[in-house]
Amino acid sequence: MFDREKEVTIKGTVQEFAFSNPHVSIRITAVDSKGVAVDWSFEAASTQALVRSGWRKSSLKFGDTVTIVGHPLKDGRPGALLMRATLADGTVLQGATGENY
Amino acid sequence: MIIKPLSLYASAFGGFAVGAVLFCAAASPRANAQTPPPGKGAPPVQAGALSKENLAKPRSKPPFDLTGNWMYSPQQNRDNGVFAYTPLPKLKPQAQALYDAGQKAVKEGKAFHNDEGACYPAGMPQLMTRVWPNQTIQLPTVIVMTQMLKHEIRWIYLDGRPHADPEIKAPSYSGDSIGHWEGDTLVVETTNFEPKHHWVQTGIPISDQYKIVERIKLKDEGKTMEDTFTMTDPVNWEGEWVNTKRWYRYDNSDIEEAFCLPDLNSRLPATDAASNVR
Repeated sequence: MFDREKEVTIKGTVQEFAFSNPHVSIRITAVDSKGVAVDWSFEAASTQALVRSGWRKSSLKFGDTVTIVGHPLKDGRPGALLMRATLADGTVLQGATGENY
Repeated sequence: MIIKPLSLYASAFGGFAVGAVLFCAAASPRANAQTPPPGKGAPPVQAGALSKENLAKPRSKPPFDLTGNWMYSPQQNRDNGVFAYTPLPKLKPQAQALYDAGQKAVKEGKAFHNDEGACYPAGMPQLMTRVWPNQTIQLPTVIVMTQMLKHEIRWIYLDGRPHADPEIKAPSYSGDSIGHWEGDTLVVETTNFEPKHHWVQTGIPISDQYKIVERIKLKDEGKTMEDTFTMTDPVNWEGEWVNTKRWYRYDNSDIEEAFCLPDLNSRLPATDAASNVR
């Protein structure tokens, strides 16, 4: 589903941060190069995998600014597998796309 | 001990005939008693895996204990197809057509008959190869393996019982598993699968004739579980489909609740309806 040979970097505003299992997920609204607002969905690993990288339930909330790097969907829709996220204060939180995902 | 009236019945199946059987409802139910025909009473009682008497029966010490959390790692399984089971067997035409359609969808970046995304169970064998841990508890009478995703469970009965009669036990996604020890190997046979919405891997379905024989060993001083699957399904492929997969032990963790929720899936890019080809 995701192209692991490619990366996209999307900066946007958090609409939803679902700290849940089996997948943590994040939806953000980003503005593309033409000034059009686009909703992006990011799928991540389990809460267990992410907390080991420093993620917490309170890491993101509605309205936060975040920059996410991910492996994009192969079919071109605005979605990706989360590799890492940079919070507004510069904190970088890694995903869990290596060994087990 | 209560002696029930002698039940005499005969049935013919494929040239075989069954004679009279004495039923004895007691503290030690017979494992191989025949199921009475429809309308002729309850099936014989099978001692539960957790019955005190069953647990207390003298048994040889097993060669290993699988109790622990087992993680499936793509890195450890690059030689066997990872989430697929390669090399494939020779597929029958109907299965081949589905497989080919599945491969086309995957190349286009889509899912194919994504029943898991629709919250159907993965079933065996895929429940063991998810990216969430398999919490495994081994008792003398049964091994209980719970996959964190959707809490799918399989039970491997070790108490010497035969397969449950399909007349009285419904087919299931995890199947009916019985195991015995051969030297340093746990040999498990699983039958009586539910075939609807049940796939070995993308595009390869199973029928009600699907059967798995597993040979399970512990390696690397107990840190690696290795399972060689021999799968047969004369409806969907020819001969035996053999594949060996590995898990590493990761006990500094417990599994958590992880239901499949349709509203959550609709928000995930890999499982929303737009990505699924049926």
